[in-house]
Amino acid sequence: MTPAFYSPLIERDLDGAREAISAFRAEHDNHQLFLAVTRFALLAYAPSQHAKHALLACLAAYDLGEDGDILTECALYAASSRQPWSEPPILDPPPPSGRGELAEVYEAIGGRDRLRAERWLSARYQDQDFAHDFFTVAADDFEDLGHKLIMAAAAWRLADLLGEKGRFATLRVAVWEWTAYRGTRHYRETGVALDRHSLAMRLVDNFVCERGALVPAHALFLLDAANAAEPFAPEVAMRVRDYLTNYTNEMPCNDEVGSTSASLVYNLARDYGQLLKIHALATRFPNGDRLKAAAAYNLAHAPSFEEMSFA
Amino acid sequence: MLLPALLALLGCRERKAAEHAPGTPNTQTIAPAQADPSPTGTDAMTQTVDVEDGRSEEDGGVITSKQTAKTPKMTTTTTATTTHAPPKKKKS
Repeated sequence: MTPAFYSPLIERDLDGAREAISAFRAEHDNHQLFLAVTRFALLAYAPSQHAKHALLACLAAYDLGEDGDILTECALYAASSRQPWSEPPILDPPPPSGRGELAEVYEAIGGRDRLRAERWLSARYQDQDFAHDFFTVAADDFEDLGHKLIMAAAAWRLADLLGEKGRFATLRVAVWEWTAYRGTRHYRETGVALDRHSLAMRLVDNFVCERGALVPAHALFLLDAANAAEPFAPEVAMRVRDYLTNYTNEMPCNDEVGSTSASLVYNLARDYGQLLKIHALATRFPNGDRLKAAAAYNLAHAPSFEEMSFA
Repeated sequence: MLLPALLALLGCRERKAAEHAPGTPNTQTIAPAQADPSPTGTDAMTQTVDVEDGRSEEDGGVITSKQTAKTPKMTTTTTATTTHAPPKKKKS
């Protein structure tokens, strides 16, 4: 932690932040920049749309090779979306709850009791078999377009990237997401899940047909999160595919977005970092060029979110 | 604010702007999400209220007035009259 780097970000002095990041880049490589920016985004995280998408953007930047200019935009996005701190975030885990049973975290989520959920996490996060329960809880409901699992999958990856010291604080991101809003759509599986590739093809078509709109984009992000969870909890991946199969239709259409392209160095608040995140996702999904073109089209044509304060 | 509620809000604004702009094509590039009705009443309006206490004031949470959210600068430029239906549709 270097005050010269973080102070302008904390103060939302964006010009000063650009200078500080530039100075940082002169002395550090891009991976170190990724770590510094992502740690800031992690501390700035709140279950608001801009704050969580700033953190997701950092992970997308990592997937795309840790470009310094993109990471700079990630830092500015995190700084702009950070809610005021009345005191520094607490990084240490709270006292663990009794045995860390699943019923306990489900009750905490139902009651939107964040501290209780954190104590469950504190009891469990170092267990060998924790990943299975972590993803199982995250996929219990798909409120807010599946962000409970999307954030859990991102937090799991970031916990490995950022190191053991901040592991609890990183995984806590998911717990805060789970308890921030009620999930009233407890989904009952119907046994119709498409296989991974077929569903991906359908969702890509829907995304392009919708010209890169936000809702079909998040169906892709949810499937991507399910794929990430699959090695730890195969039934979670099946559950998500069942849900997405049920709640989407085949939507063949003409490719209306052509070969639209856009720079990845842009004000990420405009589309919640969607263009950047789609480019990262495209490295793992079929028809990457169509995905990128649709996301670029959306960035150019859809209403901007940049002035939706803290939303 | 949850994304479906946010999109519904934007969708309302888009429609309202179109109503007050003669000659403006009545199109939108993002279709408002169709929020599933829920027995506990977590519709878009309720969610808008609920989410604001996602962080306590002690933790630095703020009540974000929707008045601060300005009308997006971007306007739709498409002239096609087709409005894309949301992909979400339950089969059974």
